[in-house]
Amino acid sequence: MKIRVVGDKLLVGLFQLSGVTGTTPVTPDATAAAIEDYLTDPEIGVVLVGSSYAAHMGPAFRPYLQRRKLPMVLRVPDREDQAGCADEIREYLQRSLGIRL
Amino acid sequence: MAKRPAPTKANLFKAQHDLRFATEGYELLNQKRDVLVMELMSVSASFVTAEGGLRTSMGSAFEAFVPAYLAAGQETMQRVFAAGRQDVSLEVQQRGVMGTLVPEVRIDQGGEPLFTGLLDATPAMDAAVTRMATVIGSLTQYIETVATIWRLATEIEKTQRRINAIENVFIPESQEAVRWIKSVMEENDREELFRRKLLKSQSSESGDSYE
Repeated sequence: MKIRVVGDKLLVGLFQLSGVTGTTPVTPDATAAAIEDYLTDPEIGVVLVGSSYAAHMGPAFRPYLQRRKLPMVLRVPDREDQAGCADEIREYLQRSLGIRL
Repeated sequence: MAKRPAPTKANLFKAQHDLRFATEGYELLNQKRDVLVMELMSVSASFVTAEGGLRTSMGSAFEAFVPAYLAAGQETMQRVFAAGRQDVSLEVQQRGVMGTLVPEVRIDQGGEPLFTGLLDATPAMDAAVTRMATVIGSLTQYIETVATIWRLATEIEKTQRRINAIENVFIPESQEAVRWIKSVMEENDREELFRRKLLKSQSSESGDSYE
């Protein structure tokens, strides 16, 4: 299986050094379309989405994180937003389950 | 208020069966939630390490890559990307935790890292390539822990909703149905007993035997 990246040029370029290719969409809708496109490919196991791109998608990104099937969609830190997904996970666990990490 | 069933013995048995079933389900789901929460807590400890590791390694890779990318220009970068390594391959296996599938990930980075000196790139680009190997290495644990946390958390939330529904809807409704059917049946028994006594007293007054 393969890994694919969705994010800005720097993130995609950085991963391309390791042979992981990706897409640089320009709008949140295009980001969703790029992710959807990768989800239909059975050869892909993980889609990494730049944190700032995921943030621009807002709540529309959450269902991708909660997918139970492959490919998995994950948020990774990028140049613009280095927060990654830690805060999102903490907030979700605290709000919906009352679990504090 | 839920619709009351007809006060028959068959409905009483059914309501008692439903109550037992709901109570057992409630206990099982509680156990399931506890196991999932324990698993989540143990995974969350490694998540903090994995997330920190990825963030640090990516920060370091960006530090080397950004100036090298800006210095190289479009043409050199195209050459670097074109001469890039074979695609990183990923192996995902799934294991079950109380019926929830969580991933176990292995990443194969392929061959040796590409050195870009011959492609007119700066030494910083080589540093970025080397540091990306660390990033890909730390991705394994990151992918595994993050995906596991999301899956477990979603399952815990779903289990909690089921527990709440059983605790607040099914069990009280079944208890109410059992209580109501029993009270109506007892009332019917008392009426029947009273009717028999009345018939008996009437028949003994008139001299007839009552059978």
